[in-house]
Amino acid sequence: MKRKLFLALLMFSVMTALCACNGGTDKGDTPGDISSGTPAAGGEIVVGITQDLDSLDPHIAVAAGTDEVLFNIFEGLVKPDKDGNFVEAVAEKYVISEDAMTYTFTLRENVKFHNGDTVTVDDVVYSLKRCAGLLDVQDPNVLVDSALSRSIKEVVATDDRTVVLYLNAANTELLPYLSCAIIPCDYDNQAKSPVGTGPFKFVSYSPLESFVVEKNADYYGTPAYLDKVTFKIYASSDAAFLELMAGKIHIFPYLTDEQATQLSQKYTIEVGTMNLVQALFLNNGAAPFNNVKVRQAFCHAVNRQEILDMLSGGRGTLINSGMTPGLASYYNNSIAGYEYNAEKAKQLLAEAGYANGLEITITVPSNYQYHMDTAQVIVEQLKKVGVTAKIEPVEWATWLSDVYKGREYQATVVGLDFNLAPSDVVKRYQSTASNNFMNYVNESYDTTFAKALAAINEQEKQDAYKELQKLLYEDAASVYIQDPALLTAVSKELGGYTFYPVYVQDMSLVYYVK
Amino acid sequence: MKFILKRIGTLIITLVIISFLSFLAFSFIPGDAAVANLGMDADEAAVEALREELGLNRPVVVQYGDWLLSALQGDFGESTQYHLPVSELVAKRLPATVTLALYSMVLICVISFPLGMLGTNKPGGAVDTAMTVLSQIGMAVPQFFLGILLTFFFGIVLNWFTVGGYVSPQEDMAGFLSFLILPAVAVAVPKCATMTRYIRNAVVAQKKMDYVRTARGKGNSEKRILLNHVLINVMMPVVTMLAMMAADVLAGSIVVEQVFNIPGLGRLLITSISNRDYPVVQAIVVYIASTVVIMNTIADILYQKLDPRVR
Repeated sequence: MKRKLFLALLMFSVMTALCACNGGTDKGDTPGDISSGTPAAGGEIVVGITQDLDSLDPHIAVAAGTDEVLFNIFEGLVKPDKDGNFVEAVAEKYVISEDAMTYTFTLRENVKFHNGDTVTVDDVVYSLKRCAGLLDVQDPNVLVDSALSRSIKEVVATDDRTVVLYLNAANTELLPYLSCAIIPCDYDNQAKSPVGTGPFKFVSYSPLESFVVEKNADYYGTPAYLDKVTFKIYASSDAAFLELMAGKIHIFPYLTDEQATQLSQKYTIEVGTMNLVQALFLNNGAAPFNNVKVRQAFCHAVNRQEILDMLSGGRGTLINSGMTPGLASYYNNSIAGYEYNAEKAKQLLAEAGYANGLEITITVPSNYQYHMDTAQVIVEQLKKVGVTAKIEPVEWATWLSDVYKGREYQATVVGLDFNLAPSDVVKRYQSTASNNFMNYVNESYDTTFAKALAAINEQEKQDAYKELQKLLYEDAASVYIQDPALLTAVSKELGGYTFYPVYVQDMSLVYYVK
Repeated sequence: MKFILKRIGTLIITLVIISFLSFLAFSFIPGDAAVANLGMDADEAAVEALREELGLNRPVVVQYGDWLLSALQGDFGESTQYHLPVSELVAKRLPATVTLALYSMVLICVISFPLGMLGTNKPGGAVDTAMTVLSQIGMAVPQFFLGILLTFFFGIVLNWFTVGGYVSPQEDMAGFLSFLILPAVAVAVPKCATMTRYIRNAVVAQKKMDYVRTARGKGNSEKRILLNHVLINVMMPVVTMLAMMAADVLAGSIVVEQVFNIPGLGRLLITSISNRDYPVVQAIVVYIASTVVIMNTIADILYQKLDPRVR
């Protein structure tokens, strides 16, 4: 460990020295607002990504890192825009009945798949059924979306341009899930040669190397500017760093604060948010965190602003409960949050019977350096209140199996992503939820959640969600930290790079500046 | 002939044991392909269904037996992550890793023999001391760090080398071969340093032997003694050392592949382990194990040729 640290330091100091030497030789950089340039049509770019795609079939892929890339070739009936609204895509318009029991979609005329076929209602019905697990023969590799499978009673094509969804219960929040990809019903090679309706079409994929797409000339909407985009796959942002220094990558998200500083000469650094709820999640079902005082003590002991300052140059959005600030109308602004107060934390620990200190283990998925770093900072902060925390780094599959599914842990640092429906962010805290890995149990939470989900009146819904956040805060369900900042390097030749409130890399808006 | 048959027998037994152990190791670590593939949002029933489909709920011994039977017929199954035949996935990555390893081995031989003999005329002299210092430095530098330094100087400062410019051999053979030179240097340098040191010590030790004194007494030149008498005796332990190094070089390639972003076997192995993609891991483990065993066998055969007393 010591040796590794030493090497890292050595590497860093050499890099900094080398960068310093090189700083003066940069030329041709014209500083300025990149989004103000005039778009030029055409061109090719390389986008660096740090996760290999887990499948090319959009219904089988589960990794957020895959969705963000496939967003360019697949579309649903609706798709998110940069403000988090869902706009018509394959559908030309939709009507949600007043009782929120039926959703009626009218298909856009003449939308073509990349193989030249026109999208029909059969394709739409097939795609929705496949996502919802309603097909007679269901591929076990397909991840059935539980929100869809629970809500949808029936999917029916009423004429050759209309598809109607009948629901089991009133639900006004289903639209975000209907961005699930529309794929041809009679095509079984999605996993190798995907066919969708998006602004780009698939060219090639080589595992661990690259995923290449080209412009879809027949796109019904605003066509893409670029002719070709190569998503190049790297083992990590460190592995890509030298290529960034050499200027071989045009767009690269997920930089660390340090890397962003070093690249700021060559690239424009765009700052967005990762759209995650990052927290020190606590296992409410086991000692010592089954005691609310211990949980509250931890909330007071963790200095969240210090985490932001140390890890991302103060960037990121602090959160006080389990909701993402990205869903502004459902976000409860009135919660003040637990202020950093070591004395109060000590006192609460003493009240809980841990006056002489406490030892805990924080299990962290080691593939997420950011969460590992966050855990390191937390360990140091906890020392000040007499808590000895040990970090146990585990692989992602181990984390999924032991922590997330098995719930055998004390505390963990991770970021939860979500669909843009408020219920998706906080449904896991229901006492019966299969993904309630915090073992959070509160009866009034369950009833309020049911009320929020069923509410048709928007004001009622918003109030209910705000109430839920208050409950999570009062119970100190976990130590909520932040929605982390996302630092993306964008070549100075490019414009139009846009952040979304969900995890996507929309290449159709990117262009070379004239 | 009998010797070779015996060797092949050893190879097969070794592979069966190693492949079983790696299978067993996987049954102990948490998480499996079904959990890894379906991710966070899948419910238990869906995971169980996929387990059933992939045959993961059978006893380990049955799974292993099944795998072994197919593997013996040359069928390594399908990757659970990529849904591609394992043989296709591995075959596409093999050229990069094999070429990198071969390149490095050649570099090690070409560089360390002359350097190892340099300065042995006067052990403790200026040249010898300089060589000692150099090889100490070479041994101390980790391969990944060297890879980063090389990329920086040749790729970014001097621009002689296209950073991240890996192309597959099918696309551009010349580009493929020239790209791999720098990674090979990164793999080879620390090993060269070890080897140089090893050869130097062996030569110095041999030079104290009686037969060298005799040769000198007969009026042979130092150069002639070195090349005709000493070298042949030095070869024996050196060949063993080289064979053992083959395993190190393979391991080094795995690390260096990450630095140069070469889509070789190393990255495939690491990815497959984290995705619990057993068929791919098994195939790569078998490949690595057989390379090491085969290299050792070749060393044994060479050993015999060099010294007929070993039989």
